[in-house]
Amino acid sequence: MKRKDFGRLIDTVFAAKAGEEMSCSEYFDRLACYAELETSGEDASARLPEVRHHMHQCPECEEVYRGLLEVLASEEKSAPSK
Amino acid sequence: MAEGEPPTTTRSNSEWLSALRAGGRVQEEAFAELRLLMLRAIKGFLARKTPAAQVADGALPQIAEDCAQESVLLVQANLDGFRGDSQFTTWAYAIAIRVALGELRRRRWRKAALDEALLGQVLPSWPIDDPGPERSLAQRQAWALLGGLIETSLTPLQHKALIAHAFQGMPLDLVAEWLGTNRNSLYKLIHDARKRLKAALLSHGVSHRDLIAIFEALPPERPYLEEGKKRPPRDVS
Repeated sequence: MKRKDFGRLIDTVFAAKAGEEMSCSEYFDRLACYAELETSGEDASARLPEVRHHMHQCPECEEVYRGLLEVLASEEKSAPSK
Repeated sequence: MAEGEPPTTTRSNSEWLSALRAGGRVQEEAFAELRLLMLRAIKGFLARKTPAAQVADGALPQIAEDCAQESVLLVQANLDGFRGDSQFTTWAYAIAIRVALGELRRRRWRKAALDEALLGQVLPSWPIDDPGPERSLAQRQAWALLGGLIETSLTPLQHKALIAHAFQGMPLDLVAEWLGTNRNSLYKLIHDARKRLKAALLSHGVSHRDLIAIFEALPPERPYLEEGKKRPPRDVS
């Protein structure tokens, strides 16, 4: 395990909420909306804090978000100029 | 549109949904267009994400094709789950990236070839791989405490799942398959394991700040935790 991943593991232990957390499926249901809020300059983490929390707790789910942002940026670049 | 040329979609969400449910030629054309969009996204993503050495020469195009096909099937199966709170294509791209990353993780895991008998069983004697400064006494003591709590405060299933995923690097979907469960249940299992570990650490007087300071494991940026400081989480107990 890399040092940064070990640090992340410790972070996730202490960030665990007492009750239930959003599941991976619920996260994916909201991910596209979250990504669009983020790319439009809105404070996505304030609008959808449970999505942000899940992203912190689940590095694999966060990786999908990072990849989605890359795709959206790439699509934006290749879109015909208006 | 020329054959194989990536489309530039102008469909609205309702036009996408209507066409994808239409049946017949309209539906076939809509799925073909969607497949091309997702294929383009996956190809670009894999090209950026995958160092050439990680995948055999020439394998990426086939991986992209397979992932695009699987993504189309997932879109088809989950069409009713689209909430309409984003562009339809953004939702579809999220599925495509999830599928592509899942495939990369499966491939990486297969290459790692861990002895199955050790899976989910044994904590490493030291958790951090990268070479760093010599381990201090405080670090060794902290790891002995943390490792001991992982051994004693978790249920057998939590113990297996946490070790396999966090310490042995097994992807979540594969851990779920291995344990005969699903991704959501596994996430809950790991969440419960974290809660137990947190409670055990706090009962030993060890805080988050203590552990991070001991391991000097602070990554350069911790935006989520910084947000937490500015705006305390609603529930941190």
